[in-house]
Amino acid sequence: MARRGRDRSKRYENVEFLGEGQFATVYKAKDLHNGNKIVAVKKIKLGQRSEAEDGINRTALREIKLLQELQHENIIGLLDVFGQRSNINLVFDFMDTDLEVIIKDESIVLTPAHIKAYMIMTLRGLEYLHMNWILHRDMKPNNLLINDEGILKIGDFGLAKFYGSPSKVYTHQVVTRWYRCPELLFGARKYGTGVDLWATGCILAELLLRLPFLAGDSDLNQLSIIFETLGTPTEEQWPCMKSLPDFVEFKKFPGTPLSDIFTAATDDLLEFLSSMLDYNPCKRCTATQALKMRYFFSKPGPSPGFALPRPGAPSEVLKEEGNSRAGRKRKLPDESSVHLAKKLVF
Amino acid sequence: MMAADSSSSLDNVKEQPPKSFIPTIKRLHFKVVQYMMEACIKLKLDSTTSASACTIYHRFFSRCQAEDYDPYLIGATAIYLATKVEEQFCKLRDIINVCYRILHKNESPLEIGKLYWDLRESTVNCELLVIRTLGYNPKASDLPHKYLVHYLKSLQSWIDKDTWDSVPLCNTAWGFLRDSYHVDLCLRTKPQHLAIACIYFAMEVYCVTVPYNDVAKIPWWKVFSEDIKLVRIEAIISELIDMYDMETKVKPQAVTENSNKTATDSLNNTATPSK
Repeated sequence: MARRGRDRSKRYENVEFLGEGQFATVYKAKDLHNGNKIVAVKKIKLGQRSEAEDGINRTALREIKLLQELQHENIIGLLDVFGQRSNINLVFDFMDTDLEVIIKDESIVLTPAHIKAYMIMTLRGLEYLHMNWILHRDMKPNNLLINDEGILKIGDFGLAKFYGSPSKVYTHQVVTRWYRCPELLFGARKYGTGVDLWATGCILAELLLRLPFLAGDSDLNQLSIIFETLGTPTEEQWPCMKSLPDFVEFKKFPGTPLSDIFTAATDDLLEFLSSMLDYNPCKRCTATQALKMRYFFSKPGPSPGFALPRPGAPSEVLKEEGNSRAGRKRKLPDESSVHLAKKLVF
Repeated sequence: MMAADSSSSLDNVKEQPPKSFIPTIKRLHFKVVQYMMEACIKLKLDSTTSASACTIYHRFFSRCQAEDYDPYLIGATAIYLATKVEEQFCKLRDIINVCYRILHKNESPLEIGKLYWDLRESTVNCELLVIRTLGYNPKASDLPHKYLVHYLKSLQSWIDKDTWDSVPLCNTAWGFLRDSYHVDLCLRTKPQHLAIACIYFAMEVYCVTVPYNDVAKIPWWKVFSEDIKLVRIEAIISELIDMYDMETKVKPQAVTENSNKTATDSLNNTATPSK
């Protein structure tokens, strides 16, 4: 077994260091057994004592367990797993960039056709996940990875989980705050696919605004920003809201109509957006329903992959990456490289 | 190399049970699973988590020789890995304490100290070995439990209420399924088939039949799983019977009242060599 592992670590030749997160470092590598195909190798850290105490990292195990069962064009592909000394390495499709980089790159113009293409790819991936009874629970632009063909794939399954078992309670401490839906903020322990759809709605809004749509700086502040923007939900809009564990009464904000926030958006887009941002999780649209909405059948059609934008300035991204202190030290040997350092959040 | 490390460091701690008590590999695994089940119950883990742990254990030893590793360590590690796979959080410390206590009934509970840290390190190293051995696929297939529940639910509306209420069919079938993990049936049987066999067995035990099954074009088990044959069901049941038969032989002097519990207790006393 161990021998097989050693062979496989020789199979992938590191090309460059890409980034470092709390639990892993990522390298760009060549797959020598597959025509030097470029892949991303995520090396799960087990070396440090604090992590070694608890053994295999839970988030890594989740990724291994879930991604081995999944195969979809819009889901990051886990190509291989191998061990090397006391490390576990996950081999992924190599992805050039992510949606956050695209959104933040001011040199890129996002047309309605681009946005529609990103939304279709996101929702297709999400629909597939939900059909397989998996909640992603960390949908955000940073986790929507994009390859050199412009194909978007949902990545980072560190928080993903099977759902559907009626007896199981879940933690509400999931999803990056800005993309967290109101029921999670109110402490719901039972929730469903709606959490991923709300986040997708926030991502759509961010694609339109080029800024995070609902950027709270604490959980409570997040709720008040949501309510200030969209209006405080009424009992009618969202029955049972008061029975959620952490429910607090908020001031009655009237909210701003979406058409006043997104002045350039068409009706079909607003209809699509508001159905993902429905307060009532039971009425919020599912990925399948979303894909059938008018928005996806009206003009302009979604851009094909090759016509989607590519980020231009790599230096921009490296600057941003400078926050991760450990990452800094081991920064790319050639800073001029075109490939982006992606900070791993998981 | 990893393996050598982890098992040798544990050799000092948990000595192998005396040779006379492990006449066959099957009996050894039976005893280890008994110990694992006891630990899972004491840790208040779900049936699915303990089934997952046993599956990991059996899969490991379908690829490795029992002589090369301490099966009790592999068992404890399998429990730990299963709690991660099944997302039922459990502290490693609790697992170590409980497992140690089961294996060393007559000694004082494990104190935090060198021994504890050594055990912890062994388990963590062993976890890596186990997941590697399983080809990094800790959850190879579905567990039969959800099929069992689903099938029973369907049968409930098929069988008349008085009959259904008169016997603990569900509990018995569930119990058969749980016990089936004492042998490696789960590796050789599709989860659907194992679930059907457990129900079939329970129905035989209580002489319950599905109405009109004898004249039906498709017998009930084929409705649930097209590719199962009666001979396969019977083969699984006969393995289950052999397993219960083995239980009586594996247990040395099983005495008195709560037979199940005392039996396990006495088993573990004998499994732990006196100092």
